[in-house]
Amino acid sequence: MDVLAHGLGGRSDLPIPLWLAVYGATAAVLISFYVLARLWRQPKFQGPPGGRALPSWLRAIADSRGTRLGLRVLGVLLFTGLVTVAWVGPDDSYVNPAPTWLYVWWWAGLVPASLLLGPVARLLSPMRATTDLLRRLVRRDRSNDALIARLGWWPAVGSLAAFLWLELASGFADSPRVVATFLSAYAILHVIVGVVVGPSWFDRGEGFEAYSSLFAALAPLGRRADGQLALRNPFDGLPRLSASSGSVVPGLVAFCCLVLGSTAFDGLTRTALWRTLSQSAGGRTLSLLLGSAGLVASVLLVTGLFLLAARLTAPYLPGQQNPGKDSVATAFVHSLVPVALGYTVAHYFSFVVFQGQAGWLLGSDPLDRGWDLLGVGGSAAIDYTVVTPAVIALVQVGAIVAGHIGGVVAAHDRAVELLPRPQLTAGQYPMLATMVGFTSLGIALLAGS
Amino acid sequence: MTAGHRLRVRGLACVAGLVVLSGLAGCGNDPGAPTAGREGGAGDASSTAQNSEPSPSPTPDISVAETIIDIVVTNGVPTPATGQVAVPLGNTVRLFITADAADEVHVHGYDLTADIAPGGPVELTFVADIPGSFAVEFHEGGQLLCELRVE
Repeated sequence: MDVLAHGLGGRSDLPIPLWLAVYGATAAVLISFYVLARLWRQPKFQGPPGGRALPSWLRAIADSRGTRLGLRVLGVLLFTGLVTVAWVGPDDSYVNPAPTWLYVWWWAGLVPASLLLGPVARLLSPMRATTDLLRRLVRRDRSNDALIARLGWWPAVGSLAAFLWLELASGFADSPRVVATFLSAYAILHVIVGVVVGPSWFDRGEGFEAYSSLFAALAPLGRRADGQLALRNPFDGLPRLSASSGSVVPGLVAFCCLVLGSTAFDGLTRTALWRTLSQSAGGRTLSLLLGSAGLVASVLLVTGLFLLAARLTAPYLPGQQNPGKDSVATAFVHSLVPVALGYTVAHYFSFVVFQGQAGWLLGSDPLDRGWDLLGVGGSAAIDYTVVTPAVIALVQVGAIVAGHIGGVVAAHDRAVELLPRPQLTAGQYPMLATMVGFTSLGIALLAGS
Repeated sequence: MTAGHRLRVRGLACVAGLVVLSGLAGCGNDPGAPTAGREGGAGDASSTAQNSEPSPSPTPDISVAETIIDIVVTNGVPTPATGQVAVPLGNTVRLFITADAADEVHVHGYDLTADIAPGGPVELTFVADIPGSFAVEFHEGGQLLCELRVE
């Protein structure tokens, strides 16, 4: 009985027109071959991080202790407000803005914020702020950096998977009390681990920070090799996620595949096929099991396809005597990030535009006491005419195709760095084919809803 | 075959396979075709049909395009079975729900609610002026009654 879109609301997008789907998929394939055949032969983005430094006054403000502290305080205030409203307000997501604040403003909003401004979650993180404070109070200096390095991104995989399961598969994501319980438990757990193991736990251990840093890699704002904040080409930041020569970053492939696979599952739940399936599974428990199975299957499918492409690419790499498919996978996994971005925009765009308004409208009276803090007036409703279905469809297909182009360009640049010249074209086919597969899947999900 | 040639053939096979798949994916879906799952329910279900004819009125000067949806819920199971109902944008929707248990009907998006008591049908009438796909469900029981496709 999956009535809820992304855990909230009840409006879904209409399927995109067939002609748009076919044109989109065709464009993706054609552009891919163009990139393969015609794009640069020397790596462009694999050197030390470059960019044009921001004006010094701007850098001074951005890097100042005051700004950093202010952002942390803001993060703590926002989090406290959200959790309070979730605990104290009515237990109904049509009246309580907390679920909308979490799923739309925070979760969906983290993507454009990180794309524009960098690792926003890290800057705002109330968990980090609390951890630092507690560590200072108990005078704990030691950090278990070795353990954190060994774990890599796996803790973030677990953290984010818990949230995604709640949002997409549980069936009770919209309840404010559930939101409150989840956020409280999540924060307390991470703070405890952070105090024990050290604040660098949060870099790759906390789901939202890791998610934010994934898209921050594509931001035009980043740090140069000399540590200065700079404006850069988005593709310059992307390869920093994964080293290119052999060293494996544990869990990074799993994390990227989790992000892509879960968004694919989200699209799957909007299709007519899934609705038929979930109708036959009556009752909440069975729906929950079905949703969980679907989520796991989607993530495993994406992972399997990507690892297969890595294995097929491995023989083309020179010298290293068939490097393990893990290091090839890590070398190319950054190219999944633009694809995941395309999927996310395609599936969340209308949700943000429409349900996002509810965060404002309901926020005017968050505890249902008859307040009107934001001057909304009594009978304001979500304005569904701000974007037309035609615009939504174009944005959706455009995002998927643009994500595809980004992924292909990123993979090409890495391939140019790693593959020997005679194998350059043939060696890119497996990754290219996988990208085309993901893009077609994305478009098919949009057309089948 | 040299190793290089073998690899090249494998690579081409990959690409060819996925191009074919993407072609199939692009062509194999029928977007938005409404399921006809609204007739032929057992027993109590009155016949349902999507009308675009003038509503029955004593003075038929103004013809209003209407969509009439009739759902009977017995023991938590809706009849006709849950499906998609295509509603042309701008039509007046007249939704009749009959249930054997008390609950609250909610039409998402249009944000309409109506309390239902066992027995007589409850009618919800509104103009479908927002395009999209909207769920009609029971608030307490959580059952999805139907999905309105307004376009």
